[in-house]
Amino acid sequence: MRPSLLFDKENDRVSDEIPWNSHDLVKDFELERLFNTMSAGDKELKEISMKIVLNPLRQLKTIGYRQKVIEDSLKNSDIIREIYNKFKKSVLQAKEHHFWMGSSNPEYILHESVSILSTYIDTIEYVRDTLSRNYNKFDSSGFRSFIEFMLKYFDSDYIAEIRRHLSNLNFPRGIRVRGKIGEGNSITDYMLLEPNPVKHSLSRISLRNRDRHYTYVLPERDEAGAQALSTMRRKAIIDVTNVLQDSAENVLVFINEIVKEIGFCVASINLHNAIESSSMPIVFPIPQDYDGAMEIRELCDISLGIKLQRKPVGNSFSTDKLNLMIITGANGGGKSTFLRSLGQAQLLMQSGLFISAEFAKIPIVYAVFTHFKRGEDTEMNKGKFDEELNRMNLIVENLMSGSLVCFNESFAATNSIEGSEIAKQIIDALINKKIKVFFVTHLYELAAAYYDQRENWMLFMRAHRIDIESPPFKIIEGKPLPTSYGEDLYNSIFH
Amino acid sequence: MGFKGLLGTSEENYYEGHMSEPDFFADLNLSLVISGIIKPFEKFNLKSLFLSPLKDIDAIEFRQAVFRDLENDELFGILKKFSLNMKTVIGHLSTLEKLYEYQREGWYLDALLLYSSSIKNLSNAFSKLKLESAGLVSFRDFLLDYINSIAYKTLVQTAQEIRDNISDLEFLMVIGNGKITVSGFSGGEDYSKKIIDSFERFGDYATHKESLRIKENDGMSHVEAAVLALVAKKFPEPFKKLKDFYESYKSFLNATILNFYYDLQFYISYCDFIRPMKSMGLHFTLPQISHSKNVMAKETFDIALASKLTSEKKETITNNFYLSEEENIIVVTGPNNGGKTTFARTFGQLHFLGLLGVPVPGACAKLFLFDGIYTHFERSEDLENLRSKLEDDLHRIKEILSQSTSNSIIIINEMLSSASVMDAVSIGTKIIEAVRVKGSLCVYVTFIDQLTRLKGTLSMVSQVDPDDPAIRTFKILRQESNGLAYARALAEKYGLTYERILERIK
Repeated sequence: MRPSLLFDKENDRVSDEIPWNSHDLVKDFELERLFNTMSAGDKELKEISMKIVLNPLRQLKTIGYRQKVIEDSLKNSDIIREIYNKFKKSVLQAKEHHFWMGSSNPEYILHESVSILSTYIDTIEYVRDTLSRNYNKFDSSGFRSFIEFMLKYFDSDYIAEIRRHLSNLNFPRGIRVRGKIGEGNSITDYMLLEPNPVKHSLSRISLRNRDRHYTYVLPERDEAGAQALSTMRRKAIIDVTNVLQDSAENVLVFINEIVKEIGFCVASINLHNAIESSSMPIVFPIPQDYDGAMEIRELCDISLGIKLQRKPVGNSFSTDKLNLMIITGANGGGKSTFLRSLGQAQLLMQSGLFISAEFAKIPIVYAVFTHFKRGEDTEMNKGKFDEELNRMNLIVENLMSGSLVCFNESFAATNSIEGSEIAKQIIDALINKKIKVFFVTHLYELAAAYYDQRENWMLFMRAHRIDIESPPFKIIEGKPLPTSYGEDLYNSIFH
Repeated sequence: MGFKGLLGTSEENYYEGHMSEPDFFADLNLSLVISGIIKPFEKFNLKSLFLSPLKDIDAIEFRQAVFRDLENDELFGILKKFSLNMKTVIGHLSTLEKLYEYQREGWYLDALLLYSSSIKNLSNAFSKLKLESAGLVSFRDFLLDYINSIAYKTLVQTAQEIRDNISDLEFLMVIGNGKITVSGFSGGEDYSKKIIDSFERFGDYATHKESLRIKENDGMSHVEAAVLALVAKKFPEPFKKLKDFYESYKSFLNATILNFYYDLQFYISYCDFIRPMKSMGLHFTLPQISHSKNVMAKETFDIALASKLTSEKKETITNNFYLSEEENIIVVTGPNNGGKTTFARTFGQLHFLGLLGVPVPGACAKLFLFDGIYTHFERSEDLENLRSKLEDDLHRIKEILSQSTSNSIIIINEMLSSASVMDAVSIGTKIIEAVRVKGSLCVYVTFIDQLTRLKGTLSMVSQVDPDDPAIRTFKILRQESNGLAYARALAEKYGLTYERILERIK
């Protein structure tokens, strides 16, 4: 029994661990603002968003399936939010009871487990009813099968059965328990019986009546006796307590699973609203095979747009095949922003979300890695170049064929000839291993080397200086120029 | 041959012997060892046994034979299990008077059943395993007769029937507020299982939590006792049989088996004590005890130190020694803290333990059947009056020399350190000569290497690590003492020994 709203088949699931390089991804693509927008202050939503966005889907059809679910969520945002809040509330309520679960007294624990499960069952019933009432408003197979799932597993009979158990476990007519005689004639082998047994036939009842019974009544004010009686009660209920406590725990895990799935829908609604209110374009990208064409029109950096509360400069290109993109050009020309917008688009698309663009066709990749120049602030015992190579070493350790690596000003911490040589060897190796490379660089030697032997799967993009051509921050296709960092610097200082 | 106990001593002096520790116990650190052995066995009054070395080689060999049988781990395990069960049986029987009605009879019954199953297991094991020692063989024979006697068989069978009848009972309790009703049980399922079924669909999410447990065997409460009485009322027959049985066979413990059980503790306690050291790779051996003073031991060690080091997971250094004809005094010299005192203790401990009939530290050993151990170890210094200390020392040594015989063991440690070297040499020489003439076995620990060259002595020297003279190896080797062991090691390290210098200078 597993609801699958975000995945159309169990085996399409991807890891939900936060990947090892998440810190770099978040920092380099400025995803922090994106996640904050998605979670709108809800810590759990942030974690859910991170886990899903940072673990890309890897199949065209699962991305398509997810996109439909997100579309449905945007269409029915009120219902989605209501369900999410209802679940959240019941988990919160349960947490208050949970306080008692630390006790070692089974009577408390049983009582609290009954309360928690009652809350959960009420919530599950409520959600089932809300969704089934609105069944026709949902088009996606994800939501439809989710609703069917709720109806199948939580039909009225089942809910009634659970409620009967829960009320039984309050033992309104005393605890009925089978006993045996054990070592030293102690009373042992307690086996709890159903408190309200099914009525026996008449003959059985008369037989039972003939069965003599004997009663012990605890004297008043016999404190020790009351304690002893309570111990016997505990022995009678200990097994069922363990069962119920485990069940409460299991149901909570189940509910958390749903919360995670519905939560991602809520997060996507939040993100959608934020992009819209910043007047940025929104589109569901069309995922392509790894070797497929790539085309973007007016692709924007979402984090930047949300920060600015307006549409930032968008970029466009189109190519039939893209294995290597080298981005060169002026400082402050928007190269990093461009790389970020590409990285964001890649991850958002592969979690089934929309991106900010007018149109996009993007090939899927296996995983995304970043290798960005680190500022002086990083804790460094090693030399800067040493540190860069060490990070690259970590990436290579974790790389798989079919991935994308985004470099930003990497290997520039040494002289440019050496840096270029090392970078070129790395890039050649990655390309050879079927790994896509987007590389922002000042290393003219590097860019020129590829340009001189350019192939149809390479793309050269260039940031233009503010004083010439095109709008500022626009990145357009163009041959790398021997503009030097020094010249930029000179300009920035003397102008 | 009837069973006459497991200790090899005659009936009368079973638990006789010294009750207070002899003088040398503290010096040899044997107090620590003995209390370590008997501590987990406090109830058994084993101390006097461990304070009483045997004078009779036959008795020693009787015990050694039992220990040799116990080297079979399977047998030892079975005897230990038997011993534990007997402890439980006796424990139950001793508390019967304090129990509730029916509880008392119940524990009595279960004690009997445990007793019978334990001796049955023991007897089965005996018939399977090879026994060599007279002690165990005679007990095995006794036991076989005992468990095959009609009276015993009837007793056990009756008890088992009663227990089975009661175990088969099932009853229904309804526990309400302040009352419990007992009636017959007419069937029904475990409700917990039903609930498990109902929640089974959440099983995919199973988070295994540690289950709560109710402590069992907290004793019976008066409420439980009352409920038990109601159950007895509900099912009068089996409970009446139980009561009758209890009244007619109050005591079932056999005196011979009890004696075996008590004697056995001597062996178990010692084996338990040495097991951790054995698993650290140290050897224990059953020594050959004789009237010969040509004693020897290989890979032997200070058992008190080894026990401590083992508990700290540290390695213990072992030593060898042997005395030939014409040698009756081992003079130990060498650097401080090099293990000289430890060696002296080892020698004394080995002999004491050997005469208890127990395995001693070492891979093999030949030991002497001594008539007494006399030790003089330097006590904590009282600097107030050195002269009087020397005087005390001499008084003490005189006492030792007058009490000891040619069959005694004398261990002297760091004697005469309060005397001047000149005095020490002359006094030490005289003492050693006196001991030599007397013929006692002696270990003499000293700084004065002249003493190692006296007649009748054998020189042993504590060693240092040749690579780093600051590290003591705790090895004591049979070696000529020149007072230079430390200096030579230093010199070798820097290539400055006489030979090395000759080599190096071309």
